Amino acid sequence: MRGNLQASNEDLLHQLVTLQRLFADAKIPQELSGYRSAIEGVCERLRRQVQRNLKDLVYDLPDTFGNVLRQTQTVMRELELVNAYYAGPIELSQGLGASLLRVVPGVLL
Amino acid sequence: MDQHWLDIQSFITDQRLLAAIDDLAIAIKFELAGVRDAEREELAKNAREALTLFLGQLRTLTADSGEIAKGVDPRLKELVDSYQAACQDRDNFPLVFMRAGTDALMRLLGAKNKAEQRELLSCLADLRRVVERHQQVDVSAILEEI
Repeated sequence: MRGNLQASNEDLLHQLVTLQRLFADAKIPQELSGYRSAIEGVCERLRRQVQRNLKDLVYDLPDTFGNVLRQTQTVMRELELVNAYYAGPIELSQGLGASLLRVVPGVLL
Repeated sequence: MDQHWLDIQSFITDQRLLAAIDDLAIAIKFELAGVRDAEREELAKNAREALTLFLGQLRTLTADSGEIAKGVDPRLKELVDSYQAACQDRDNFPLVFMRAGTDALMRLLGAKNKAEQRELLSCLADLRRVVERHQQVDVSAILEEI
């Protein structure tokens, strides 16, 4: 379980870093800069949680794996929310019909 | 506000609560295992604050349960109802805490000795189940559309 959790969190970390880079690089109207900052804040909070999950796994306490799994699922769900809803206005402002800003969440366990 | 965004708001509120429960549970398990981690201890402190706030709300709303709760988020009220239902459900929630009330858990949040900490872990697990059941409604409404 530990190995799967570690792989899932490493995958999430990669997705979040990619998403943060895409948001940072997006050319958007000035009016949306506050919105972008808010979304970047969400991504940063999720990234810190994933790093915390990875650190918790380093201690290798099987009793905590269930908790880390739920924390991982929490990040996954919020990342889906970011992808599906929060990214929308920034995508639209760029005239992107396709989901170019989105990343595809990996399969968890 | 659009119902969809209210669902999302409720979902996020529950997410924070679940994260606080797991943050505290991990910190207690670390302590019981003799692991020292400063960041984890700080997260546990924040989690205790968040849970104390939530339990305070729960206490207020359960006290007023016979009356119409004005100005209360309907989804929060549903969570209160779920909690009260769990308190009556002795088969699925056999812990004394569920019947002892929110004050008992609030006191237990600061548990120092191992026996109390283990009891707190069990209580957190029950509280998590209540919140997860409640969140399932929002998950169905939001994530299944994605």
